[in-house]
Formats: sequence, C-alpha cells, structure tokens
Amino acid sequence: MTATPTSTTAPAEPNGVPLTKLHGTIAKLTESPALAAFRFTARNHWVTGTASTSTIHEWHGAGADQVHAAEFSATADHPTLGHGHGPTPHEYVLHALASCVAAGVAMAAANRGITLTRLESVARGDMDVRGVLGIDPDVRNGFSSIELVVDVDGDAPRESLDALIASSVKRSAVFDILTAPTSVVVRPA
Amino acid sequence: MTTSIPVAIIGAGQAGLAMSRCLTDRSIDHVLLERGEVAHSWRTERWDSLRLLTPNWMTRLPGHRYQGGDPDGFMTGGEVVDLLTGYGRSFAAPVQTNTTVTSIRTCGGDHVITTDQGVHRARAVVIATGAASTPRIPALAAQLPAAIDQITPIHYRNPDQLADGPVLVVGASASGAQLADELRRSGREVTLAVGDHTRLPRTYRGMDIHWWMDTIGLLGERHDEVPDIARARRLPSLQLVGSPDRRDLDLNALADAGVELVGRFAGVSGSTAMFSGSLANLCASADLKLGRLLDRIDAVAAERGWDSELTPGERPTPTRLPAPVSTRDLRSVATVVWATGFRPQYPWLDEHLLDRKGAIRHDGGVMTEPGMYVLGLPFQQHRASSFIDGVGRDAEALTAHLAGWLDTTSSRRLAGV
Repeated sequence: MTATPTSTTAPAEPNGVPLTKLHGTIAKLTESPALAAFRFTARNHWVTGTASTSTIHEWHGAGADQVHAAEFSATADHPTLGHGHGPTPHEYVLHALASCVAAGVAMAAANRGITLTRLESVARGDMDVRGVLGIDPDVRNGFSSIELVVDVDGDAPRESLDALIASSVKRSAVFDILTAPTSVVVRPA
Repeated sequence: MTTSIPVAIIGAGQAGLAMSRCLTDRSIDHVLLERGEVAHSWRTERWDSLRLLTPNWMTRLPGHRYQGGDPDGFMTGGEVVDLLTGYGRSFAAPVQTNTTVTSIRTCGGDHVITTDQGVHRARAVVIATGAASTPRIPALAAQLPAAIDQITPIHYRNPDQLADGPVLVVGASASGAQLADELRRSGREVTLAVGDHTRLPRTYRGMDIHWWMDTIGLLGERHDEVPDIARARRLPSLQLVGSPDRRDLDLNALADAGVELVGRFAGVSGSTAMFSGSLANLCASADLKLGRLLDRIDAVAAERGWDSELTPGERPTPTRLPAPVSTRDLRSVATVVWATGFRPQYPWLDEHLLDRKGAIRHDGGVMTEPGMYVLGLPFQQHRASSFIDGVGRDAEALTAHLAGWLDTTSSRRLAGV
C-alpha cells in the first residue's frame, strides 16, 4: 500500500488511488441514484471434504453488467478436519474486514493529501468452537468478537493518521456487514 | 378573499420573528402566518424538563440581548415561550395566529399562499417552519410487537406519561440522552441504543462549551468554508443538557446513572431487537473528535495568553465500553422512545423545490424559485443557523437579498416587464 511520489507536484493517483475517477464516480452516482444499485456474485463449487473454491468474475453496477480484470478464485478449507487447501471461510471474513478498512484508509488519505508510507493491520477473531461443533447450543457459531489493529504511517501528524482509520471504518462495507444484521436467504437452487 | 402583501413569513418561532424584525427595520411590509401561537412548537412539542442547550446570554436575536440576572443559566421551555412572545411584541410583529398553510404556488411571479384562513399573494415568501417539526422514525418501527408503546420526543412530556416497565430509548444525541437520563431517574430500567453521536463536556477549563465554540469561531463557520456541507448539515445534535448544575450528559454519566448502553438499533427479528456491533467504534470516533475540539480550544487559549487565568485542561475520561449486548427480547420492553432526529416535510410546497429526500433545495437559504427563502435550518449559512443565537445572522443576510429582489421586481413592474 505504499506509493512513491515520482514528482514534486501532487500525483494523479496519490497512494495509488485514482482521485479524479473517485470524485467523478461520486458526482455521477449523486446525480443518478439508479446507477448506484450494484450486485456482487461469488460462485462456489465443492472440491473435497471441507474444501471448496469460489470464483468471482462478473458483477453488476453503474447501470451495466461488468467483469473483473480476471476470474479470481479463493479456496477455503478447515485446518484440522480438512486437507490444507486454504484458510477457513471465517478467516476470509477477517481478510475482508482488513482489506476493506485498508482500502478506505488509502482513499481517505488520498482525499486529504496524505501520502502513506505504511499501512498494515492485524485482524483477530475470537470463537468458541463448541457452537459450530454443536456441543453447546447456547454458544453462538460465529466470532464472539473481532479486533482489527491498524498500523498506519505517513506524512501527517499521528492524530490525522488515526482519523483516517475512523473515517475508513465509517464508510466500510464489511464493517457494516459484520456489525449490523443483514437479511440472508439460503435456498436450494 | 385574497390579500396582497410584499412578504409572507411561514412560522412565528425564532426564525420567523428574527426575519420579521429585520424586515420591520427596513420598513418592508409583511405578515407572519402561524399555525398556532407565537413559539407554537415550544408551547406544544417540548417535554416538561427541557431547557435550552445554550446559555441565556446566547439568545441574541436582531435587536434583542438577554437582560436577565442569570446569563450563564439555561432557559426552560416556558421561558423560551416568554422570550419569543416578548420579542415579537417588542416590535409589534404582524402575526396572524391559528393559520395553517395548505399550499404555496408560484403564479405570474407572485407566490400564492393558501391557508385555512384565506389566500395571500406575496412577492416574497420566507419559510421559517423550523428544523424540528416531523420526527424521523426508522422503518423498523413497523416491525415492533404491537404491545409496545412507541413515542417521539415531540409527544413525550414526563416519565409519568409512560406505561410501567422497561424503556428502550433509541438515539443518544441531546434528546435521547436527556430522556434516557430522566426515565432512569424516575426508577425505570432504561436501555439506550447508541448510534453516531457528538460527545461534549458541559464545561471545559471553567467555561461553558458553547462559549468556547463561539469564541474559537466554530459556531460562526460558514457553509462555504466547511469541506462537506451535506455532512455538516446531517451531524447529530450535541450530547448535552442545559441544567443549573452544569453537569455532563455523556455516555459515562448515563452508565453511572444505571442506563444500559447498547449499539445502534439495527433490526428486528420476530420479537428480538438486534443492536449493531459498532458501538465501540462509534465511541472511539466520538472521543477522537472531542479530543480534536479540546486541542483546538487549548491552542486558542494559549495563543491569546489565557492559560494563567483558566483552570488546566482536564480531559474527559475515554468512554467506558459496556460488555457488548447484541440482542434484546422486546417482549420485556414496555415503551420505545424514538429520539432519532427529524426529517423535512413540506407537503404544501411544489415538488421541484425539494430534493430527492424531501428537503428544500437552497443555497444559504435562497431557494431555487426567485423570491422564495428558507430560514432556520441546520447549518444553513453557518454552524449556529438553527440556534436562537445564530438565526438572526442568517435573517439579516436573507433580508438584504430579499430587499434586492423586491426592488428588482418593483422596477420590472413599473417598467411593465
């Protein structure tokens, strides 16, 4: 997440963020809210045991069907009962939170003219696995709590750097998904 | 019967009266159309214990200064009614009471104001109906079990009015924090669902926080000076109470009083309320913003050489976080208080004057239709626009604009254009 300025003038993409494009998108979606209806899709197929792979390629937004630059894939498995094909699904959730907040910090920094020199974070989730294993019905399945520790540095005072984290979290999709209830429908194909 | 008048002001509260005073000073003929009496919402839509959040000296209006003996005290709702009634009388504000506006239409350059008491034709209209008239109630209110009483601060008067039993107060800005505190003191079990909030101490370094905000120039910040005016206009009200003992009313104080703090009320599933897990983050964010404000105050104090006269800057302790509570069985809740703010509602205005969310389109109070103005909205021209103390400044600016408009239209009419 580091960006090396190539000249003394403000870079077009501070911290690698295309600011002009970002502002253009915000202006466009403010003008036409219908373009803001996005849909994201992950397609999953089972591999073996507890392992499965999702491919992510197409998405819908800005009034049209779109595709990513490539078909991305991610495989999840289980550390003890699986065969080491990948991290657990809930670790992907930790990754999702960390990368969502990182993206937000980089954008907020770019917006405020701050050049980042370091942006690292550690996401930890605590889980009592008696829930998922069905040992105790009073224990929830998911994380009982998640902590994200963000280490950010750049050419601004400490307080301004910490404020980047706050404003990123304020606009984080994954933070919202994790903290507020979402209607989830699971049904046979 | 149609009456012709140069200017009609809709609403005779602080904004309408301030505008009336400015027009009177320029001898511009006008009428105030008021649905009830002067200061109607202060008479009918405020709870019994409510006091202004700003100190008495901070009730400056055009041609009015606080003259009483308690400049640092906080007026009760009844005293605000007296203040505004006396203010209106002081310059014989031409108020037509008990007159409800049903529509305003622009026709041949004039604005036709239809009321339940007749029709007025005016060359300029000032909408001064207030920022706090229609409660904003989240959609999930419809999902609450029918047995639960629901109330908003507009209809709440005192704890006795509520059924016995636990109360869930939703919203931790000024109204929600004050009502949670009052209901808890009445002996009820109170849960407060906390969303985005603005934490402030009542006093800092021995001075009232509003004095500081005024002194460091924060309240005077203009709408074209802040980086994101849309956001500034949406900011939650200040987590404060105006009380004779000048106490703080932050989340720590509420927790000490025995109020249970939970996250934002985010959903209902069957008879279970679900609270967001964002509380820790929102509290950290509020503490961070508070720290920045106090730093700014300290910097001004140092710059002006006040450090020796003021008490040292004692920082409020960080918000203590309760153990996370993510759900609550609503069958154990008797009443939900929606202290979730207000929304604009102008069913009597043409739709093209409003934005997608129903708010009036305006630039510093000048509406998109020539000759139409709005006054008294949050951060309309500056941060104190919706305060009694701040509305006068906007009224003066709008009066200058409005006078120019009247001159233009008069000369056009004389020229037969």
